[in-house]
Amino acid sequence: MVEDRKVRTPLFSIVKRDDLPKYKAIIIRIATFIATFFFAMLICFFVIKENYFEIIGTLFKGATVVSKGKILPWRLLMDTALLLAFAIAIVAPFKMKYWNMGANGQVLVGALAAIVVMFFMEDFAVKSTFNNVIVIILMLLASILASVIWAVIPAIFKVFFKTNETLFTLMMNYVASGLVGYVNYVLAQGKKESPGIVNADSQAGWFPVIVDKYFLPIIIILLITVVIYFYIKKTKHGYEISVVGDSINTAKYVGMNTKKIIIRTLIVSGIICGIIGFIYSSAINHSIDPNTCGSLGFTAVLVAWLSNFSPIIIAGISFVLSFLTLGTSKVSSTYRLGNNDLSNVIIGLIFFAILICEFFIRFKLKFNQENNMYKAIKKLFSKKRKGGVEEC
Amino acid sequence: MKKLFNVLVLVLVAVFAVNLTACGGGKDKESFKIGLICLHDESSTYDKNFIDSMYRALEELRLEESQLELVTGIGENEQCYQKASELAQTCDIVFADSFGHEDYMIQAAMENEDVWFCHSTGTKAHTKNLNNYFNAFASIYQGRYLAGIVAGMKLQEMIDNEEITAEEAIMGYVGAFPYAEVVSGYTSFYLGAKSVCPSVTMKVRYTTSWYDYDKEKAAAEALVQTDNCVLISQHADSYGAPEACETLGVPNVAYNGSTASKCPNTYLVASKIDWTPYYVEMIKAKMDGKTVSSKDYTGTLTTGSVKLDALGQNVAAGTQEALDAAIEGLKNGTIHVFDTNNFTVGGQKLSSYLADVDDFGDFEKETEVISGGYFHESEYRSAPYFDIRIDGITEINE
Repeated sequence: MVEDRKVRTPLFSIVKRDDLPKYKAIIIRIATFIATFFFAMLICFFVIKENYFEIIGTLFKGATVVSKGKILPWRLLMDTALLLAFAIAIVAPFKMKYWNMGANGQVLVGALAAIVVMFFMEDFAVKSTFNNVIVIILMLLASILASVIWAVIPAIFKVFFKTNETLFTLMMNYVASGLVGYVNYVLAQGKKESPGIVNADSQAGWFPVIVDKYFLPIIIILLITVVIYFYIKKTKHGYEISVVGDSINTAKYVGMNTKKIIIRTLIVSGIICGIIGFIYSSAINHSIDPNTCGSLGFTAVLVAWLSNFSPIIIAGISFVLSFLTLGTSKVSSTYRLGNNDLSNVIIGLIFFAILICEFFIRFKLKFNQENNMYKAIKKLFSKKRKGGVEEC
Repeated sequence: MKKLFNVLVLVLVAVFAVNLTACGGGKDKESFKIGLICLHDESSTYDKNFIDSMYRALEELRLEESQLELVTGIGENEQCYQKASELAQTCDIVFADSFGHEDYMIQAAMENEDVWFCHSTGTKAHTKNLNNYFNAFASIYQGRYLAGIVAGMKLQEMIDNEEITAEEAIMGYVGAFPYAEVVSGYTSFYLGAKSVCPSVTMKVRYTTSWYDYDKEKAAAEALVQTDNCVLISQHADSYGAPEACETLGVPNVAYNGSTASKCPNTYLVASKIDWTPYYVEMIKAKMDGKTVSSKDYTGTLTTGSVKLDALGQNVAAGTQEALDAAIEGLKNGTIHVFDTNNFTVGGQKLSSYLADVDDFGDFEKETEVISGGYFHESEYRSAPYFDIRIDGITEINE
């Protein structure tokens, strides 16, 4: 009986690929993107039924729109920087295999804290430039503090009570949205949903504008990116994060205090979220609503993951996604589609293509010669070839 | 690698060059461009009403659909400013449809003086006093008053048929937020009903959301089952309340569109704002190079901005005649919805009231709005400012 039992071998196995040169991987990525882009544009063409190249032109125009009197497409650059910032904020926890899905919420509470300071300190800030600088610094500190608290709560529960951080951080997002809605309502004295732009006339607590409104925020985000890159790559903390990420038991075995490392990393993540929140309130929106961050916190998860946590690739993918988001939204408005569904389909397609592309760059399929189906297919093909030769 | 970089730089420069050359635009009819910024997309009944009105305006003005740039899903934040500024580069006039867009529209208006920015439901145009920024609303309280007459006629019929007693003529109202817009709406609805059914009273429950099917449904159910209401109306955007009424068999007065097909047995009537006359007037003025003196546009029954949908199958006999008389009265000024003879506050008739007409963000009530025996709603600015809680209406805060 035992001899009769057949050993089942799968048709193929997935094997890690380590022989692919870097330049080839880059070419594959670019080729995949271009092919998917033109395929996506074909879908646009079938939906819109207008000139194919005109649609592509509209998309490019929409993405790179330059405001009156400006020479750079600041909006594209700012959107790219924001997505990059969100992704950078979650890189450290993700490297540690701590799935922080709460970047949106952490940024929101930070932005909210900054707005509250800005709202109540207007009278103090308008007295002098020095006072205004103090208010801006207080806004930054309040934002960082709020974001750190929001990031650390799930981490504490994770390390001391073994709760699931994915669910916890997700739930914290909803709490943050509700809190923003409520505080807005209170600030507007229950007369409307929000006070709108805070300090619109006095501009108290507003970040200074140099070159362009978005210039300084972009520089700050680039600086954060460089700092985090060095933090992860070159410091002892960064090394500890990767050890915890590879194996928490190994980390414990070599005497690392994993609880401390997890909480410390989330403090770092919270600080970055706090700075993003501050940028939203002080430099960009000067107001807050529950949708301030859109879904950047979630898109950033995909971006960070697909980029294998490399800041340069994160920046590249952020640029591509922001470009497409702005461009497809322009296509939707120019051709009056009445919604952003087509835009979402295209972004989804691109993500899907990047996902598949990254998979095949990192892994390859290895067919098992012993598998029966493999043998059957091989036999079929060899027979056909044989037949063909005979016919000739 | 260097070559690749050079090519990339060249492509980017070329793209920006295309953009720069694409800026600007003429004022003749063919090259006239219109932008419309919507909070959600056409799946929301609120935004669909604006979009449909815009298409009707284009048709009326014999403009091509391609002259419209329709932007949907724009939040009430910096996104709105960015979109409005972007549209200002190609469009001659830009409209936005949501209250929270206002500050961002003003910001864009200040930076683009040659483009008109028209914001529906906003409050700040008359205080900002910019040459290119305007507010608009409609005297929808007139429509609510008329819808109230339909409801009152139904209640009176139920009393006459001894289905309910006069004391049991309690209406329920599902409101979104306790803001002036909602208070003005439910009060005019109540006064319309009271004008034909004197014993009517009303209870109001809030959902604290403009669109929440479950909350609106639950509020309608609570009004019927807990608060003993026998007729429901609402100021919220989902089908929650009308569908709850259809299930419970309670008459319903809808808003922003007829629910006759979904709720055939309980639908009575619906009032709504038609933005077409406003769009036509503003686009035409801008196209003809005219100036608009008033910063606020208030559409009325006379301008065709306030409309009632067709009556449902179960309205009381004589409703159409009562409506016709009221419409006539409202148009010729013999009827004022907020006539101070028709309501009391704390048992007293009102002879004076200060309202927060000038929106400086301070919520200070500074403008006398009662004169000549009635509250002058939507006359000193287009957006509603009637926020008085009158006798006969109870707000339930649980």
